[in-house]
Amino acid sequence: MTVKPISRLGAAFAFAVLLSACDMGVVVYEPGVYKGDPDPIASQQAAAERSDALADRAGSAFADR
Amino acid sequence: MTFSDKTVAKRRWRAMLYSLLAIIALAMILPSLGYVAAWAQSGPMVIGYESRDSNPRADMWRDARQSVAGTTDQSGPYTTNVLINNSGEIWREIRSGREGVPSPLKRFGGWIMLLSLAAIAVFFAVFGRNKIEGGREGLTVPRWTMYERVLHWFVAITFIVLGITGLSLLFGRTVLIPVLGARGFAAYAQVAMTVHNFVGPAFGVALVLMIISWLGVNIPKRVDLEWLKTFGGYFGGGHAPSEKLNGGEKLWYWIGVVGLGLAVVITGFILDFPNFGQDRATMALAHVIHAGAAMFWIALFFGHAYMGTLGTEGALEGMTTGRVDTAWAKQHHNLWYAQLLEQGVKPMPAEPPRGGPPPSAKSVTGSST
Amino acid sequence: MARMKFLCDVERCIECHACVTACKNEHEVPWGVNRRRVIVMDDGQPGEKAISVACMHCSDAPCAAVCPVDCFYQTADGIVLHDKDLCIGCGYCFYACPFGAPQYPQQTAFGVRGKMDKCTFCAGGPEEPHSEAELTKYGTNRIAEGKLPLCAEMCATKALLAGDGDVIANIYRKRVMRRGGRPQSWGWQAAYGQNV
Ligand code: HEM
Ligand code: SF4
Ligand code: SF4
Repeated sequence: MTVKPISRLGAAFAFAVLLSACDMGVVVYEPGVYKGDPDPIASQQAAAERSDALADRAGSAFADR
Repeated sequence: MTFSDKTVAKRRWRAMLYSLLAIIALAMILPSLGYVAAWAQSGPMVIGYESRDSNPRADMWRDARQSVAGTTDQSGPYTTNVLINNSGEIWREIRSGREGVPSPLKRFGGWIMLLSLAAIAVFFAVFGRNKIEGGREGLTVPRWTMYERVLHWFVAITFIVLGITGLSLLFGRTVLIPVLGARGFAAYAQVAMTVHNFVGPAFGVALVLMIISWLGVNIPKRVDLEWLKTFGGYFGGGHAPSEKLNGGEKLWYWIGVVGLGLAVVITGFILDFPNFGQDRATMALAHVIHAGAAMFWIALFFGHAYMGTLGTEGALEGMTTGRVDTAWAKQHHNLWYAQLLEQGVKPMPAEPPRGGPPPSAKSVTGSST
Repeated sequence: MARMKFLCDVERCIECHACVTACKNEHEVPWGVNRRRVIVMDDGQPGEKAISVACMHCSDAPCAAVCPVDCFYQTADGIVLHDKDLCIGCGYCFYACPFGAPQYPQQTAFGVRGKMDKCTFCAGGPEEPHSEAELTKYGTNRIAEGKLPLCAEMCATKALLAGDGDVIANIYRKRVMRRGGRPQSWGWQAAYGQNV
């Protein structure tokens, strides 16, 4: 008997910890979904470009006729 | 092992296996009771309306602002019939703060843990290790059974795992995202949360077993007061009498394991089982108690871990091999040692280092570390 | 710069649930997840009022403050969006949100919830606009097409208003002036720290 019970206990525990990562909710890596961080300048530009169109749309959609 | 007796080893192994199995089985069964409770529960709560003497319209908007429930036809586990939930704002300020208002939870929790470490470092620097006076005697007496040791190390290891994973979630945004990046941290946090949520209940069951098993040796007595008055001689100034557990250890049991432990475990269960259907305000309150008590407990745990390893020579082997040196027993737990002898327990030679010849009793002198 | 907001004109809402249905259909939101819902106060009593609620896209959003993985971001026009690839489903944003907007597909033992889902102001998410990934994770992206949220655009009584805060507040003010009574910009105090 060369393996101490405490080492086995440790190994069993480490295994259990690793096993719990197999939960369906765990997403460690999904191929092909990487995207960079949201770009504040691009966001600014997009918001500026659409703001007129959206304001017009609100005027025509919600005003009482 | 010198016991060529294989049955002893086998029995220990079996005892350990069964206690582990019991812990895991209970951890699986207890949570499922939530489904029974949820099934027995009726639909969403409808708040009754008192008679009003003021403007009903103004009253309605006041109700809406004060988290009074209405009715909704949409249904789903997270679909509420409350317009504005005010507990969320309070909880947000406590856990995360806001611009210019630091989070009290992170601030006080972080400081108390750091201060504890600092205090221990200073204590170690000033007083050093509490050595076995006159060295070991080479004879040992039994202190902790196999069952107690398995329980202790199970609780200890899961405590550390839960502490690391829990703190990662709380402080990760400040500490870990700069290191791992948003994506790396999210991947780690997903594993950390899952581990925390699944290991937690097993820890809770083991902790309750521990509280029950060690209740008897932790009854406070008059000698404990004397021990506490001199702090057991740790600051110098002679020795204090002690039973199997001294005044300090009993404090750790009652404040740490029982008080903070039960607070953390109970609130942990509330957080871990949304299937019971508890509302957001309950969860938020449970979270603050859980994280606050956990960090306070970790601060105390640093002290406990220091005392059990670096701080006191000869204490750790009681929890690893189950036996302690008689010199240590006389020095630290004199009343308990006397009681053991009275019960007819015979000190036995220490187990030799593996492979080496057994030392004759009394021949090992004064070797520290 | 425009600042996108929702405003529910409570005097006009007739509790038809069309906004809820439109949202579910447009974004193919699964069962049990409600990005928008209608709450009735004083149901069956005199003065009963129906109110349509979804994520209000708060300034200094509580959900973003408590998220352990910091997965929320706000577009330049104030829409609060989140990254489902980062979300770990911890439930914290649901505790913190004043409006109960964050939703999850599951509510199971051991805190398993799945990824958080909430109203996107029909602005998709952090994916290529109109891509398959955006559609399946966040739903359609009407804002990128120059359209406003579907729930508000198809509201039969025009009770639900969505768009730049100044524009819709103006429309609402004109209505209140014509019909009399007091304005009630419901939820704006909690979401944006201001009243109309
Ligand atoms: C019965 C045992 C326990 C259970 C059931 C439990 C469960 C939970 C749950 C469900 C949460 C909410 C976070 C989430 O959903 O990911 C949480 C948070 C936390 N837990 Fe535990 N836990 C337990 C024991 C412990 C212990 C022993 C510690 C520390 C030594 C600890 C430290 C923390 C901390 C610091 C947080 C806050 C994380 C944050 O705010 O982001 N927990 N726990
Ligand atoms: S309404 Fe809720 S989910 Fe939406 S931005 Fe505000 S806090 Fe976040
Ligand atoms: S559920 Fe997701 S989005 Fe919400 S706070 Fe947790 S990690 Fe962030």
